[in-house]
Amino acid sequence: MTTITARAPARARGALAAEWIKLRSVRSTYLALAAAAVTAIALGYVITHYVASTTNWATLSPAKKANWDPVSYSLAGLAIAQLAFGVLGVLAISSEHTTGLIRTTFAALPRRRAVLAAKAAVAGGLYLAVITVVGLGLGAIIRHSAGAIAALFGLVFLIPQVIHVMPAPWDARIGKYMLDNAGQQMTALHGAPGFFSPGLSLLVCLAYPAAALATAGFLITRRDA
Amino acid sequence: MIEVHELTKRYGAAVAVDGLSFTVHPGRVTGFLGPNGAGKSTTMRVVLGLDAPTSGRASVNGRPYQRLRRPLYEVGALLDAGAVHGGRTARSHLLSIAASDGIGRRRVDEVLGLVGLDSVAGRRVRGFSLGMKQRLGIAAALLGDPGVLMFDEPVNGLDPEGVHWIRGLLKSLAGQGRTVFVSSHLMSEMALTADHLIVIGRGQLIADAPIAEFVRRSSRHDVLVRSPAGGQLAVLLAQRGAAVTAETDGGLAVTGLDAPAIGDLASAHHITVHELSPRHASLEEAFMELTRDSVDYHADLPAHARKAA
Repeated sequence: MTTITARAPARARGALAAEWIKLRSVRSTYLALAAAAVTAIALGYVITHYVASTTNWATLSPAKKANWDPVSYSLAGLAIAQLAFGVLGVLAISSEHTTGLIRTTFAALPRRRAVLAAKAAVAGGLYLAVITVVGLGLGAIIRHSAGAIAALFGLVFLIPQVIHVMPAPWDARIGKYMLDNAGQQMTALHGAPGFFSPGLSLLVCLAYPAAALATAGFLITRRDA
Repeated sequence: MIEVHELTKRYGAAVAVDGLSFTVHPGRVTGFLGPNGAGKSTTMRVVLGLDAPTSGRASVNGRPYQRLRRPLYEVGALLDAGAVHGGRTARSHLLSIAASDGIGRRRVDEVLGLVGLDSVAGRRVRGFSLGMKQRLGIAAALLGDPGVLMFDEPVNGLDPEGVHWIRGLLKSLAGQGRTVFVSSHLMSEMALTADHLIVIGRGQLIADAPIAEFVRRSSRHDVLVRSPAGGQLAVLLAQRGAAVTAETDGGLAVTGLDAPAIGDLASAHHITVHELSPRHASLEEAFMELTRDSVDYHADLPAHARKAA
């Protein structure tokens, strides 16, 4: 028993080191990061510029002035950029299933949950951890790159869009549980009516990766590699 | 040492491995032979803890794989040379595996040199030939300098030089006292590398015996005799207790007397002999025979082999 306990930190360190090397040593990581950065900055600039140029501050009503939210305008690009991180999470594990490399990984680290945790920590530790880890969870659950990326797009992008066009108050009633809305409400200076507070929105955001990882953690030891 | 005990693996209705038991001992190359789809790869995956057995168990050095404390130091395996990320360099690929068990960069460079890939270590694996990928897979298996090595069809897709290299490597690894377990569907290949054979068919054990045993037990073990006075010679041979069968082309297949004895007999009776050649069934033929009559041999040869061992 003592030997197993003594080995646990070494194993965690090994799993983390392995995942870190894997993440650093493929081009797709840098492409995803670059795409995310460019999209976030460019869209943030364009949207903020557009809003600023079409708004005459002097003529705005006091209510509109109070609701003016430059932070959310400048961060609007993240709505698109987050997908790049989700894709990163998907690829962190689905590329191993696609190639069969996962067998080498699991042979080196038979404790599969340690591998999953290390992937989550490394892939998710970069930034926008939530989307990345949701992607990772989907990748582990679905195990095919294309399928998992499609599911990620659906979850992060398409379903929220559909809910967005629903009639009030349903758009907010369901929409507040959507990842994109929760993410926005978390950083919004002025919360939209019917949506969660920043604190609750944070919990919603954390629930997604938690659910994805929990499902993945349940399945990963029960299926053949 | 690898032990497989009463192992059964089903995928839905299909039975891949069916009550398989065997032990792979150190210090020799053990060939794992069977036609494609016999269950070789499935067995290896179960040994590595990648697939869960439906029933039965497998262990390495007396423990289930999942319970090994530092797996890379105990077992090295090459299952599929294509199981690499094409965008990663050979060195990065090895570094990531090495890191999981705390193996350093120096050992990575060492195994790269061992398999002859040091000059392409910084190149992306995507551009590697199958032979180079096999070498990379073997390098990964050797990282922890393990005492147990498992290779699934390592000579597939290799050029003659690569095949020669693998044979030498397997023998030297076994010579160092390691357990070397190599699967193949080619008896001819195993004949040149293996010291011991475990043969399976349809997921069941057909034979577990030293390679010499296969030669001895092969049924074709006779002398072909051609003579213009074949009929007369056949009678003489039969009188001496030999069994004589006429071949379709007029030759005589003789068992029970060796070639010198047959020659002496013919000479003593002034019979001209045109051909006198001892014949042994090739291992390839022995293998075909074994897998064809798998049911007959199932209970027979393993028991015989155990007595011999």
